[in-house]
Amino acid sequence: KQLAANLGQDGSARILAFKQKAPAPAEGFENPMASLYTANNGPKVKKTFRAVPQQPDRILDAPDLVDDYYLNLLDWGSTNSVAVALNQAFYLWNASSGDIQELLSAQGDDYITSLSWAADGKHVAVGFSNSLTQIWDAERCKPIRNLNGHAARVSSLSWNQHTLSTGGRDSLILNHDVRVREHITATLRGHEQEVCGLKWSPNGTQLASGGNDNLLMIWDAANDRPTHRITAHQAAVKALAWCPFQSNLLATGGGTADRTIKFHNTHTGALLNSIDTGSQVCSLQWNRHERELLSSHGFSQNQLCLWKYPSMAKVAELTGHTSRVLHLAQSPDGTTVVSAAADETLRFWRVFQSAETPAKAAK
Amino acid sequence: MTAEADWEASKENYQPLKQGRKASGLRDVTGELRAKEVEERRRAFWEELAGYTGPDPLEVWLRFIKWTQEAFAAGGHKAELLPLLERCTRELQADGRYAADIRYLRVWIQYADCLPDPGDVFAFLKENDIGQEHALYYIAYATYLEARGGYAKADAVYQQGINRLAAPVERLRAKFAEFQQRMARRIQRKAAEQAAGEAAEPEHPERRSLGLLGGRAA
Amino acid sequence: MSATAQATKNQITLKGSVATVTEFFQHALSSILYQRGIYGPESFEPKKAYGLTVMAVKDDKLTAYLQAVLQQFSKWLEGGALQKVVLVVTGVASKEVMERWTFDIQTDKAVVSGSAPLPKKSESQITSEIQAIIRQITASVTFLPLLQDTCTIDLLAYTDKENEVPLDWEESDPRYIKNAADVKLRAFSTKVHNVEALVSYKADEDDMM
Repeated sequence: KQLAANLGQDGSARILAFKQKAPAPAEGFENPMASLYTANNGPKVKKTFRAVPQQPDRILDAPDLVDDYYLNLLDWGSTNSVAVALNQAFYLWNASSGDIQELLSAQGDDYITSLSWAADGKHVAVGFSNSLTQIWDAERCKPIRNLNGHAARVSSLSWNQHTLSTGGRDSLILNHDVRVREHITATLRGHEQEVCGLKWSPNGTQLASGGNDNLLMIWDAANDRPTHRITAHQAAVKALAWCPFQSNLLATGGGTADRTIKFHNTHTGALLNSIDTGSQVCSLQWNRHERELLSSHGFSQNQLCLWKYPSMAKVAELTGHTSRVLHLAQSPDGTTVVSAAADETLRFWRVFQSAETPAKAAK
Repeated sequence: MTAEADWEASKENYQPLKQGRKASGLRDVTGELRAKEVEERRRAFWEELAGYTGPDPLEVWLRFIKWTQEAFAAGGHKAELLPLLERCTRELQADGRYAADIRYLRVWIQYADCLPDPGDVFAFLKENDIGQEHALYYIAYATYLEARGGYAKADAVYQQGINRLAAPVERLRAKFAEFQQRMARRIQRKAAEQAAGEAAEPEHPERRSLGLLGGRAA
Repeated sequence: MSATAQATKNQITLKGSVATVTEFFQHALSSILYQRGIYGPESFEPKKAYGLTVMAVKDDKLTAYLQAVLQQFSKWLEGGALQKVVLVVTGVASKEVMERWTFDIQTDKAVVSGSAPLPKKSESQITSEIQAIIRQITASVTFLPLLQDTCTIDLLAYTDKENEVPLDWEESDPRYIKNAADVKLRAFSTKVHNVEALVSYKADEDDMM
């Protein structure tokens, strides 16, 4: 029947058109999505609130970094070590000494899908495509614990003291108490697709999760049903960042069809603000020293944007990456941000350092 | 869930393409990234190009480019799309037969779209008389100029194209008219702002109690 | 729950189904217009529906236009006469059809005529099916070409031949796309009406100017 209809031979139907003409879009109308399809830079940022170095301090080679939006492959630990997963191995780069440790972990067809430093800076949680999560001892360079429970790859991780939360492609979030044998303490159901963003609030009372189902969920520590189910984004929500200077304030970023950064009161669930960035938002990091937010982008400008908060005026735009800037992490002293992109490089930007905060001497 | 719907599971890993994608290219791209068959297919294309003796090498390049965009849905480093476009444009330029071919111009425009600042590309095309009789050249150039605030230059580019009767000129004229309408709105907006006596956005650097106001360069 | 309440729970009436389908068209058409960039974002505002945030039309003229069309869809649906709804997107300067969103409707005529008992389906099930289609529309940027030129829209309805042509509608050709690529989207069913979505767009890159 479909075929006949397409051939215009559907003899049983009459085709009618509404006579009235639809209102015309504004004169000189430009499709608002055009910026999604070009890597060309927009207008230069005019206002400079403060000088931000436009070039990275350092660029490191990151061959085989998996080009997948949903993974979380970069983290900077409290002992000043950057952990990055490159396909089947993950590396620890000591930012103070420049030493590199390579830890091979995945085998066969498996690859690493997430990693996250514990607060002590001595342990790293690593998630795999085969649904397993491992806790590694970073000093002794060996895995010390296996955590199972997911039915698909583990794409996101977040620590809250001795609790490790894991988010998977199976749409579940599991809370694990890493000290005990029966490690799963809660199964958080609510998402319908891959959980690609997962972040505990700094005070450990709320967990924010974002998924490929375009949903943002806020979970209170004690409950296994979400406190807030926020549908505001029109695309996947991977970028999540809790504000360091205002509790209950969460910034989130949306994927290709959304391109916005939104701010939420996680106490009331209210949407406080939304701005259009023109490109897929991959990651967010707050500046602890100035009231600023840094966003990293994918399709199609591959830039990092520094925004003044709360006005969301653009302070700086950092270019250089030639493919999607998928991950961001910041140094323990909060002055430097490292970005990992699909162009297989890591770049270190001294973007958060202001006049009052001298950076730790890095080699 | 049908196979066709699985593309949604990896929707964020699809680079938006101006010309879109066909249904046959839609699939769950997760974990595809490390397949060996992809590298073999790529090698096959290079071999085909090396051994080609026919009348239209551009046709092979175009297939190669199209395959690259489909095989590497997210674009990215491994796709090597930018080097591919660079080589295609460079190698066929010496040839000379494609200077007026719109397919060749499209590759150049696609290349320009991959760059943060393609100003040199447009200048190069003009100097070497490539694609100069196609409306596409002027529209792409003017769009790039307008996006970074080069309004006077954009205006000049549209005029050049129209004077040259670049084809299809009706589309070029329509685009120019739209540009002029946007300019009119910009001028109106600016006039309104000035009349109201406000700057576009008040500058209020965030103030911190006891924050350093001077004495060290920011 | 009383026996009658139990019996009528999840029962789908014709009126109810018509309302569901019409409301679906309202939100689906709005979402398409927003996501394709046919009108600027200032013409839309976020609204909650189907457990999602959908972009709803805010502009007066556009709202009035859509309301007029939706009202007629409702009437046709009540009579079981609406077979297909098509949103045609045409380039203003080129006059070429760029995109065509087709919603195929299958109606249980027996329910319309009253000769069959009312079917049952849970509202949450229907909502979840509609939610899935709206999500796909939102995600269509994954594969649809950029609409580079200013476009206008037209709404077509395929109706049963026997019905009278309403005053503000006229006969039309199907406005097909030359060399179309198709992507089939999801469907939802109220058991009285079954709606399947499909989008067609230009497959021929040689047309990119």
